[in-house]
Amino acid sequence: MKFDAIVIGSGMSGGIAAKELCERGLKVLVIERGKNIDPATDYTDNKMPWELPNNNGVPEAEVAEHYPMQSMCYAFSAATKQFWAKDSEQPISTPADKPFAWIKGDHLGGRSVMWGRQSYRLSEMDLAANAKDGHGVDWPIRYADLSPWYDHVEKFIGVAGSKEGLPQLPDGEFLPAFELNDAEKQLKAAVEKTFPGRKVISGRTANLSVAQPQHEELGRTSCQNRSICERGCQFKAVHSSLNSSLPAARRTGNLTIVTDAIVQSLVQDPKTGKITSVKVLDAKTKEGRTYEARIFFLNASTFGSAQILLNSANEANPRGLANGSDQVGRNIMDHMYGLATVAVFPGPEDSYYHGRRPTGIYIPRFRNVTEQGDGFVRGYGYQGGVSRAGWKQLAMQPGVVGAEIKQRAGAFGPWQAIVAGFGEVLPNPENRMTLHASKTDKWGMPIPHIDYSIGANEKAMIKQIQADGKAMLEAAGAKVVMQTSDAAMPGLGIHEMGTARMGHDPKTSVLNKWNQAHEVPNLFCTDGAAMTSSGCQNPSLTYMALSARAADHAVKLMKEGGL
Amino acid sequence: MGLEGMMQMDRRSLMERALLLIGATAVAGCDFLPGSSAAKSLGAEQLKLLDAYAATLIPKTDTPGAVEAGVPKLLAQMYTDWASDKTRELLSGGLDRIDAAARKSAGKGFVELDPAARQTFLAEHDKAAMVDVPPPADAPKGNPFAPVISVVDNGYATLKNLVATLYFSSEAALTSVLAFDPVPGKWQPSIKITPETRPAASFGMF
Repeated sequence: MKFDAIVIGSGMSGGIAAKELCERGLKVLVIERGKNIDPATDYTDNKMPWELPNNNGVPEAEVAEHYPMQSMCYAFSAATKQFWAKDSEQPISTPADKPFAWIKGDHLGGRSVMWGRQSYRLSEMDLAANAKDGHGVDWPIRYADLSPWYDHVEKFIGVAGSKEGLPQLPDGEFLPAFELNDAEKQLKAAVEKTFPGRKVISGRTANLSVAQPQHEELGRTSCQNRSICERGCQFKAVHSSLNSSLPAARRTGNLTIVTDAIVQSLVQDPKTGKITSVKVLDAKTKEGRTYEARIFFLNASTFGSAQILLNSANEANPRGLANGSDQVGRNIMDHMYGLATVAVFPGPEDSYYHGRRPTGIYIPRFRNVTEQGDGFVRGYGYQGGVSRAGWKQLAMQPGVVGAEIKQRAGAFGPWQAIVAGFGEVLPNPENRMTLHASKTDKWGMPIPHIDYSIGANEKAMIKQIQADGKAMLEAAGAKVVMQTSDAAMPGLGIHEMGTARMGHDPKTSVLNKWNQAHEVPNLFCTDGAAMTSSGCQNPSLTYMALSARAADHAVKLMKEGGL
Repeated sequence: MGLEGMMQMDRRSLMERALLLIGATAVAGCDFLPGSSAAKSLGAEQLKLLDAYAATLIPKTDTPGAVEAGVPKLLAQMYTDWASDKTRELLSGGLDRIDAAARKSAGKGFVELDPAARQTFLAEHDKAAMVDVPPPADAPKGNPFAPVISVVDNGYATLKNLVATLYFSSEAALTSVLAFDPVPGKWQPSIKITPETRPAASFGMF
């Protein structure tokens, strides 16, 4: 079958690429390796807590056999089991002393279904950072290039947030923010007074605080504050490929989707250098087939896209497709994560809240913005929140049994606060994914070998993340009770990126300023692989903005006869 | 409660719950080994013991207790359907040691004690069982994302945690002791606590 465009991957970036290409009149095929999901029947968000099997736990032996890595993600549960790849079927390899977790979906919509929804723009500072301090290569774009596409994506997906006027965290087209609770307002006042230049704001999140006409057209309604977004939301208040981008693509009449179709490689015409088709294997029957198109969008995720490029080596490109620079698979970055400080917080005793808000607080980067970092470049932001302690913290004390457990659980406990840093990681070519020399998955594809560790800049940053976290909570009169000493296992930030970076120079980068492969004119890659640096902001919004921008450009090139 | 009193909260669960907000898991999934010949269900005597334990830990008052909420039945089901052999050994051992300790200190099995004696005994047993101890040298190190329980009786701690968790996820508890609104609608960031306000069940940070 022949299409105008093929989009490989239906997740966060592929969904937007498909929508934008379809809306510009192209006949688009989306190829998804995982299973189909029908929101009408496959979401589990209507189940009450007591209706979930095994208290929402996946049987432990099944976890050990099939999901040892995926189960490290908080959103893994009986209610979401259908959304995760089985590690037993899709293993990765790492050096023994460098564990890494690749958390991945295996279904239509990919991780856009289970994502954390935090949505922040990169700033001019982030896009100029490599050029300024010499790490990695220069981004071939600046904030002005991305800004209109951030606007475009935010309006479509719906991002709740407050305008703050911060140069390091540009404002966007926001829906009303989810307001801070009384204890969080107290924290905000204390931090902003004690540390001028620092801000405590509502976490910007892709949940429809108030649905707009463009959302309602797609059957989306306002958020009901249930905080079970990762089960798939029947109110469609959370943005995902299933709730928004694929339905928008589908209504154009230009969309075709195939699921259970695993892309093995891209086929290049040696004369023109262009891709002519993709080879896929049926996930169930393992039968091979081919799809043809004029342009190709690679949105298989940071490791998935690199895996396909490396596995598409041909006679003229023995190192892999679009890899003359030898940068495909290199420069892996995953935000440092889990650097948490937990405190008991002196919030107002008679105040409470109603609803389970789908976001928390955010403290935008201040190091190397308004305050110097101690021995490191770049910076970090914090996510967190302040809430009332729950029954487990109050009632599970040694020696407390009987009616007292209920009395304690039914009383209002103190407030607890958490702030957790998300630290920028520098691009380092030695942080690298390769194809395993001998191990293949059950479909015969070489598995990824991921060799990753953090360096001196990151280690210096960790110290200050924890010192600043403690100082801010203490400034508000809180008593710190616990702090993590190390970042979580790499990969658990689930912000892996960088394996096919954008850049000016084909010798040192894979993609140009339009996310077009330097060496393959009709190939575009707009997922996390494209990232030239990581910033410290949650990156999905940027992947979506890059996708929409590249799709617009690709269609213009096609119409001009350039592709 | 003053700040010092607040410090007596259960720290492990405080961290666990706090980490949920930032998307970290508190459950280690890696160290369960499938396959062994341990019994896959609780025996008849253990089921009686479980009933008595659940009724003592969370008794019926003016609100339903753990038995009324169906906890022993759910736990027995999870023992068969969900627990790994290692967890079965922990749960089963935790139960058996309650009975053994009762026989030693009160001269009767836990089930044979009257409700008041059960409660007195259990308070002591619980207090002794839940004391933190350094983990054995060969135990997995653990971290805040995958905390390793290391108390005097790890089996008892596992049992208590599961009974309480099942209770506070039950329809009975979520409509009596706690409040649970499945579809809250609008987020209300500030409401005044009145004598009628019940804390909301939370399965995350908020």
